[in-house]
Amino acid sequence: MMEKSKHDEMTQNLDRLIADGALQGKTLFLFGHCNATEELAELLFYKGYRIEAILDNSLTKQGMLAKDIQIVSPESVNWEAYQDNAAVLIVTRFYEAMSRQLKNLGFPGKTWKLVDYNTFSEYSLSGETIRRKKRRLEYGQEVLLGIKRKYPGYFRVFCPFPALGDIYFTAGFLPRFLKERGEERCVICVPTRVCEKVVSLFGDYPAEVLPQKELDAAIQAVIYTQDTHSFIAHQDRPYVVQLSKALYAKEIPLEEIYARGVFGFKGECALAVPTKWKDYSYLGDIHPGRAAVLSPYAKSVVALPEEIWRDLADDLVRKGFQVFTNVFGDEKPIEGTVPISPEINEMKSVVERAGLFIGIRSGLCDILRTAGCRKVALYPDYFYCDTKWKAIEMYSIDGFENIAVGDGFSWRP
Amino acid sequence: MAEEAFVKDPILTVLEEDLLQYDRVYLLGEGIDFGKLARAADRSEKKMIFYFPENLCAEEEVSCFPAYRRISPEQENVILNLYRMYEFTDNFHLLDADSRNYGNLLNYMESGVLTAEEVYEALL
Repeated sequence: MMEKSKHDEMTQNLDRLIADGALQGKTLFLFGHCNATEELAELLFYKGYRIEAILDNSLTKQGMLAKDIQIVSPESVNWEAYQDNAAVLIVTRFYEAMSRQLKNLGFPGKTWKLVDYNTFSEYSLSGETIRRKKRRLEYGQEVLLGIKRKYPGYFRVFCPFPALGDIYFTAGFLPRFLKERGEERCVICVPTRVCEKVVSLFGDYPAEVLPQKELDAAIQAVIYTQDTHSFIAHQDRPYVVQLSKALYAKEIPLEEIYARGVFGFKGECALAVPTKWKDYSYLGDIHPGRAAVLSPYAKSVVALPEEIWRDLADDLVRKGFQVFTNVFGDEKPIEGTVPISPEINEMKSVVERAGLFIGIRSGLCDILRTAGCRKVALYPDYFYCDTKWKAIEMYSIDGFENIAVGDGFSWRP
Repeated sequence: MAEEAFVKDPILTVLEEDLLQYDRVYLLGEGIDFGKLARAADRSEKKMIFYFPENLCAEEEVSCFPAYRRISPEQENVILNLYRMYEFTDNFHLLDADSRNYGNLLNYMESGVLTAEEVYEALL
């Protein structure tokens, strides 16, 4: 599921468009298939709109259906025929590139950005854009200075994106990275409290939680000043990080991308083991070894159909398991299961007590790498971005049963 | 106080024109093997132009590239300042070996994940 703040932003922007009549009589397209686009599709359906197609540049996705909507290439649409009766809605971070691509294809209508995922980019060299970006940079330099003052002498690591797996890899490789850089003290700047909690699993690194736009601006300042005591730890954000281009040629598992590409390690390298766990306060409510924890929700992953989880839950209940659904915020437990909401640092105790964890492949699976129980990761059948690698190839985890969910999925634990 | 009027440096006008004419525009920095890069560019189907700062290399080192521009240190600074301020297009990139502030594709070559040929093709 999208982060609530982003979903709210999307909903508000959509409602504004509707109120302004911008979608009146328009044939609607969405551009860029991803979790957020599927959520937008659901929102539009709920509001009574029909979607003509989802545009996507991925050859492997074209021809597939998502939410019963055909995925097609932008080039395959006869845009002239629509005149200005078509509108394209975008909720990915590639709004600028997509907008430009449509313009180059002769798209006569309007493209709308419903979520601002990418404050780094604006495809313009106009004086107004440069002035605006200069102001953003100046703001970022103030934020960076504030962090330097708060943590004098600390090496600064910036994690631009709130995906828990990315934070896990950063924190897990940090001891070696700091040693190689000759640094002793480090502060990690992250975009959410949950990310902070992932950092805390690995030790007493101070973590500074910054609102996303502030974090982005500080990262821009790092890029601009080439600050020698700061590092941006991510495999494809922001735009200056080009590591993902290698994936067009070769499949490189995510852990390797971080170890070799991001941190530049040579030779053997292993993730540090997180040790700062806590026992869940209600472990006594979980039947030891005869319970299962389902984790169906993830922010940055396309969701699996709910019936997959219901069928799994039914099967487990029939087999005598006590079945929990890990939920956070507004997330609903799968029918027939009990909601459970442990903190990140309590999850290990919960799944070890239960004995079985089945989760959609997400950052939570990385966090549970060292948990001593049966662990299953379910992979939606999708390709990593527009590469030819399936998610299961990129994200497989040792110690887990890694299972792809395709048509006719019938796997049972 | 009124903001200063923006005066666009002429190199940015050249850059805009190149971005229209070419699929990719690359600014070269330190640590790149020009021979390997030129061979990768030769194999690519994309139309690209390379900007070489005058103080980076001699003219004869870059003549193997299909399209290039020699730019002055001042022009290089203008472009780099903009590139480091925001992403003004995804068709322009700085190619260098610097990995002080973030990961670099050349790291894959040094660790053996990719061959040199694979890395230089990925750069483009």
